[in-house]
Amino acid sequence: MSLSSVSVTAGGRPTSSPRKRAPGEPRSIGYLYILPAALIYAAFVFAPFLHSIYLSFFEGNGITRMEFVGLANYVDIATNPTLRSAFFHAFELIVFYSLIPIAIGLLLATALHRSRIRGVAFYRTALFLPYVIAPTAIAVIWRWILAPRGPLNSFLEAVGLGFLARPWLGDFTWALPSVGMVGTWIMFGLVLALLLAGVQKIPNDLYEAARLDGAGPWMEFRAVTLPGLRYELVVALVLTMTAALRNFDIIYVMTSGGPGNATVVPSYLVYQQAFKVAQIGAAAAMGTVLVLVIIAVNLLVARAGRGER
Amino acid sequence: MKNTTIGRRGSGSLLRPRSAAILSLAAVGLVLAACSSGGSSTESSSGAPAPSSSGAAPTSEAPAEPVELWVQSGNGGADALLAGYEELNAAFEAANPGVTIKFEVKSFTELVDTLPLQLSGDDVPDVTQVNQGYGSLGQLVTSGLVAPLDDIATASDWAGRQGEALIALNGRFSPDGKDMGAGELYGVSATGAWVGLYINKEIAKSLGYDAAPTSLEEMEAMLDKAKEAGVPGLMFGATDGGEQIWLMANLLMGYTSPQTVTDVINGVNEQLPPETLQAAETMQKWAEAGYLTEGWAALDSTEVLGMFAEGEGLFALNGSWNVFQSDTPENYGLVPFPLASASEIGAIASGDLPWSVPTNAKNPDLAKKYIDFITSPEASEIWIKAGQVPATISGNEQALVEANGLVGVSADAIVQWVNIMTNGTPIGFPDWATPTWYDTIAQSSTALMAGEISPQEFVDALQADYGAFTAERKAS
Repeated sequence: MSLSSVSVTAGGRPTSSPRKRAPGEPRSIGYLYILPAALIYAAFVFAPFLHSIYLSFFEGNGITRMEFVGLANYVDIATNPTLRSAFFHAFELIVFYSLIPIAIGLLLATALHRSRIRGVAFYRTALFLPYVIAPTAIAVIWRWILAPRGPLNSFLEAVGLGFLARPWLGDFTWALPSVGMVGTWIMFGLVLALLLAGVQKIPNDLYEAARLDGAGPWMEFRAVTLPGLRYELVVALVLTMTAALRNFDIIYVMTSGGPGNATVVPSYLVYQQAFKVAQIGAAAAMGTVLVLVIIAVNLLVARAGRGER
Repeated sequence: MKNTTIGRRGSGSLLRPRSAAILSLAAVGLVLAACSSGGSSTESSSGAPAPSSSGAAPTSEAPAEPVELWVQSGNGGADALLAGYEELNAAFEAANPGVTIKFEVKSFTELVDTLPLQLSGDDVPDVTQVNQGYGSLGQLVTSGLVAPLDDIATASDWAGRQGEALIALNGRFSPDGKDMGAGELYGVSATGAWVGLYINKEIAKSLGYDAAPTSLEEMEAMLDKAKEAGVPGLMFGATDGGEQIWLMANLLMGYTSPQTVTDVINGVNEQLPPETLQAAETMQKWAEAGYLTEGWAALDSTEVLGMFAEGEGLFALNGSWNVFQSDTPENYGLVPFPLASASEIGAIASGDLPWSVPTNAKNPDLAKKYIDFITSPEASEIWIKAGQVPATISGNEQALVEANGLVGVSADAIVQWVNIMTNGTPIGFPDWATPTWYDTIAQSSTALMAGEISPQEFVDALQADYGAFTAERKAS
């Protein structure tokens, strides 16, 4: 970079090393420090990822010789309705994993911030708990709650809403929203904790100033709270959307993609194709597309977060 | 890592006997003879106490060096079955001084998912269970990972023990793995597993029937009577996918013949028989007529059998490996699903996971001897004592069932197995036909029975999967 030569001439002092470096520019020795981590990352994340991209151009069971098929696996994902629907389902889950928790989280964070409630720490912990419990355990619990003769249906019948009772996870219309609601339940505590921390960091002066300017609660929310929470929102979106897109355990335990294909998601198909039907290439292609989608979504969110500035 | 199946439905051949057996443990009221085993790996020393039962002819050619025979089972969770294996292992060790058996137990899913990779390495078991079908054993044969057993099968007349039909459907493949049901023998089962109709005799009597239905027509009439009486006709749970597949295969067998369905499973033709549509229509009709358990689409197989065991429903469609104990065993029966007429007997009846010898096994001869031993007529006695269905027909079943005090469906499981093997035709599990068929049938049939797709669309979905795989298999 030209900068380094400029600064050296400006300083006008001889440097001990022949390699010129601007003040503040990291020393090369830094690379040595990150080497161990970088090696592990390369060996266990990056190399397998590249290998899986490589595999995605082949067809076969992964043991006998694989046949090169070019982009056929990707064409399949674009044209096969089942494979394609998996991505639609994943996007539908974003509504439940991301948007609804954030909407509720914003509402509650604002409310909790405006009115001091006793024992906030307790509620925060209680609401955060679902995020900490193993998803498999959560899925088992909810599968039980939503079972045809489970507590939810019994409750509905007990309060005279029996006509609403249905086999939730066996219903083609309701299975995906049911699974989605579980996602909402898990994610909402995390989002709330993030946003609460963010809200507390917004200086009270800003609210006072807004009120002096005659802002109502809505204006206050739009002009002060929302911009103040920009970074927390980006983090919340990234975490929850990634969770929605890569959702596997909840689906595997609760529905295994059923009924029919109603709740099939990409990561479930990756597992199924790789381990159940031994189509390694197709699984690798699905995984690659999923990673690309997640990266793209995250870039969009990050950019939106910056753009709001 | 052992026995950690989450044990649900869906994919692959999940609802095959073994995983269902795992599930059965969770089911309330469905307790097989509970045994204390369940350890994942038992190593009995060669100085183990002598076996209680006999059978094994002591061999003179005892290995001079101590040998460890590594046996790998995929029956994790099926404790009663494993107890039978433990007893047989002790007997085998006693008959072969110097041999120690390392019996390793995996869950069905773990076994099937990891087998191809494991067997392609150097450190492989001497004997392992495998799963039948093009997607499992076929793949191992194609990859050259398992060795043929024909020499010992001929020497010990395995076909005479079990019948060629059963031997062929469990373990015969062409050496390239392209054709199932004929060719060399790559695996043989020790115990049997079949799918039949559980019947609540008391409810049947209250509806005016004093015997199990002997034809499809009669069964439909009974279902209709049950409906009128407000009794669930067929206890049905769809989330595992297995029950839809069995129902379809049984109906198709009723509309055609066991041989036709065997040809479908083996992929003889690329086209499914036209009667597949009829089977689909019946499946949809039964669901829409309200013959099935309410909420069937969200119930699993084990759950509904549990309800059945507690007195709910006229029929249940389930496996012989799920026989339950009841306070009133005489109220329950297990029979082959009815076909077109009383004169025809056929059932999905295969062996449990066949035993194979990996190509890279270190002690192949001893391994074959072990398989020969656990499938011998003498071993039958131990199997029946453990409440299991021996795949080998010894001729003493009735006497052994009585001697061991087996009653109700536990007795029927064994007696009717003999009936199917001697008077009828066993067929394999339909999902062996293609690696993806299990999922395709499971998913499409749920949609069919929920009225989401038409019978023709159902047949088209099955045909698309089946035709593509069969054509490709034949072409390559």
